[in-house]
Amino acid sequence: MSELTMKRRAPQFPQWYDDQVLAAWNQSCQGHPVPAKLDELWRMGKYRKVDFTAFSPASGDVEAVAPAPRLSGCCQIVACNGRLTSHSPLPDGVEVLSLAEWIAADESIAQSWLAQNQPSLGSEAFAAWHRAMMDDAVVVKVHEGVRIESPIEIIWSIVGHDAVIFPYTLILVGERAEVNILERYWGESPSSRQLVMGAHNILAGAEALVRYALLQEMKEEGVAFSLGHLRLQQQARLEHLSVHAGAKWARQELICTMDGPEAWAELMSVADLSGEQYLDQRTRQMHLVPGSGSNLTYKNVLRDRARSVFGGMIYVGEGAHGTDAYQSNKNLLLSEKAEADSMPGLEILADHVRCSHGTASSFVDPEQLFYLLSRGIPEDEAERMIASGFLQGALDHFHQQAIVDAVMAALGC
Amino acid sequence: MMNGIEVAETQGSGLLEQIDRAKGDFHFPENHKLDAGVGLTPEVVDYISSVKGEPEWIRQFRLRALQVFESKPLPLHWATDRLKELDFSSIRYYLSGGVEAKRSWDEVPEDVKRTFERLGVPEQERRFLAGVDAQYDSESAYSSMREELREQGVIFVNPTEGLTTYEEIFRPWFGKVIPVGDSKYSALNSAVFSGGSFIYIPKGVKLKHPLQAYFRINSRNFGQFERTLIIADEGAELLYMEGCTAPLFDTSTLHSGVVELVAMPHAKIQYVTVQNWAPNIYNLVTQRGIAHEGAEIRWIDCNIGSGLTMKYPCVILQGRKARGEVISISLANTGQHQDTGAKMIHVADETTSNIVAKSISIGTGRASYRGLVQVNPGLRGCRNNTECDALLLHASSRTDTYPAIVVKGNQHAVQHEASVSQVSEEMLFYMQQRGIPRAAAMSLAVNGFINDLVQEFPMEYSVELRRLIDMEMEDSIG
Repeated sequence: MSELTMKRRAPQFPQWYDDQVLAAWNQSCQGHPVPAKLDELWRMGKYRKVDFTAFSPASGDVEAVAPAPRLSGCCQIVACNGRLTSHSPLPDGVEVLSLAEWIAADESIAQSWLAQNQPSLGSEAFAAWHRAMMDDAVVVKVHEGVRIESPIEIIWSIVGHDAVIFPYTLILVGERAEVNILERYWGESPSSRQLVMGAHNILAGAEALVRYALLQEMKEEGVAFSLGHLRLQQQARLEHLSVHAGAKWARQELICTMDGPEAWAELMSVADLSGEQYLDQRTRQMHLVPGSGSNLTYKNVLRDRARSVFGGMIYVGEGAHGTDAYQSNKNLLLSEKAEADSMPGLEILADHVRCSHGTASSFVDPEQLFYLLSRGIPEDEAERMIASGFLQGALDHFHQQAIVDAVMAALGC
Repeated sequence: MMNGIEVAETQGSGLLEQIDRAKGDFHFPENHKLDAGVGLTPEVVDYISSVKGEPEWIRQFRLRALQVFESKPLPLHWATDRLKELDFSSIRYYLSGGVEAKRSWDEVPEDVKRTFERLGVPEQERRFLAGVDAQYDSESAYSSMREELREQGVIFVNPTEGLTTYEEIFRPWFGKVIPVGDSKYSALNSAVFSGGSFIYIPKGVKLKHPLQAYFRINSRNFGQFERTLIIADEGAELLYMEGCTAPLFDTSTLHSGVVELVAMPHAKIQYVTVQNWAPNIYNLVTQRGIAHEGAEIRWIDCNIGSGLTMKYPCVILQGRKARGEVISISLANTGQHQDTGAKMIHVADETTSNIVAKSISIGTGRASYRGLVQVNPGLRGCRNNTECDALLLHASSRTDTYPAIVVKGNQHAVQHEASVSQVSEEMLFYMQQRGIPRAAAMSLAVNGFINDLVQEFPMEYSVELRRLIDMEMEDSIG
């Protein structure tokens, strides 16, 4: 427990908070989380490549370092080493609260919300670790009917060698509100081993429109593990984009639950992996009520000895008739030693549904390449263009151009 | 003649006292004594081996397999919990040869008789299928076929004969395609296997007629733990058919077969299975083939019966330009779970594979597709296409899809797609408007769904299959 008491640098939280943290700490096997043995949700996952015990919480005493914003003229929220440090002036109708402020303002809601660990896909112990160790949170509340035109950028930066941070972002969007958010996990130094163990929740109210992108840009030795849970009320629309532009080992678990009829979720991901990078993505599209829909498009470009794993599930519960759900994972393999593993899945317990999934893994079409070469474009440039066009296809469903431009720049496309 | 050695050895030696009474009214004549009994021990395995007069190496193979079986847990981390309901200690692993369970024609349930009528099963076959007769009484129909096969050098025998009389042909491949330790159920089969077909087709021989395993020349050839090994030598071709559309009632509750296929360079093996076991039966089968250079193996698989089927026909594409294909139709009615699929392992350049799986879920039935397509590192030019489609007929029907695709390297094209749908109301309305009753309209729609695949089956099966599916759907308009 000493590591835990070491972390209590924040202002005094109520007793229930400490009780919750202690329970979560125990569930995390005292800070040494492991997946359950033979868990199907870790099939083909390479858990042992990372020593999760080798990291210690990022220090709060270092000078705050944050990267330049990628979006211009927008509102920025910066958290350094796991603590909210600053935010620029906010438009009307939006509130940003730290963990302490949120507990002070909405204590009973915060208490019942935080009583549950993050839902996960095979990583319960990690979710418990996150809950026990998180220092702070960014809570964004968008009031009913408010439409925020310019995007909001949230930056979690991490400084220090062998450091770990536990970001937590909670976005509460009121009925008929609209907001666009770019969240970034940024590691400071290329040679530092750093871990981001983060979670984000988005609650989209009825008829709300939310566009959210999570840009993971750790450096070469970084490790990223993110847990996401999205819930949509009736007629809400959510566009969720995951971008992996860094890290040596990354795992992402995303659960999207349609809670109301006619809700629609677009889930997208793009990644360009090279060297020895490893990306493991597990998703679940949960349709529990009639008449909702979702569309998942995950695309990866793999070079050198990179490896990607995709495990997706569309679950349509009993009575969820009239569901429309799609899932597609496409991998462009550019080298002999690259590897793509794909396990799309369907579990359908209702009828009058339209559900399908598809996956394809292939190389660059030689005809396409020839077309570009014959117009004087050098081969590596041609290949770059084709890879970029390939990834762009996934971004077509994200309708906020500034964010799309920012992530493509981060990917170097 | 029955299953070779078992019968010859034990004629008149007595019967079993008790049998698994999963369904109805099988019974035995009066004289009996205890023999293998229920449950699985090394003594049971020894008994089986002695009764068959096997050489020592087979006995040791069985005993080692028994140890592997006992050491492996149930694969519950991915398979259905229904597997837990199977009690290994209450199963009879060897039916004392010579006498089969019998019943009189009057005791055969009405719905069974009706099924035969509806499916158009020939009179002389009905008594055999219903378990009234232990032998299929049609010597003449098969005698000429046997002669032709013998002249061509084809070997078509039961496992014991295959491993003893023709040891030099079959032993090199026996247990190599599906090793003992492959799964708990392959280990079980390796310990207690009995019955099945060992077939060898010599070089260049292309059989004109399909080999019907079910009536392997006049003897009852489906067993609880049948073991099949088919070797097609270079350039040979064979179509092998197993099972039948009529419901098969058996006294045992577990059928755990192992089928190994070896297609030597440029050979072609097509293996057709139509399974319609009674709904009390667990049908857990391991099927795998090795295709050498330029060879082709096609599994054509139809699963209509049993309470739980778990079967994933597999082809290992071991030689350049080998080809593997799985065509699968499964139908899960209320109370059934068809957990089927396919596996394609590409281990050589320019190999291709194709999987088409269609499933129909009726009532509260559950149809699952489970697959693996793997392209190993360092290869070039491999292709796979997988398509799984599921049709749900009722609100309570269920379907799942669990494929896994592993591709290493940038020289291949692998694609997979799956879709779930139901019979469209518009289509039904269109037909009803033209005077077609709703039930017939549903049946037409479902037959249309599987039409392309049913055409892959040999004609006599495809006709019976359509009738069978119609019957399954009959009471479930909706």
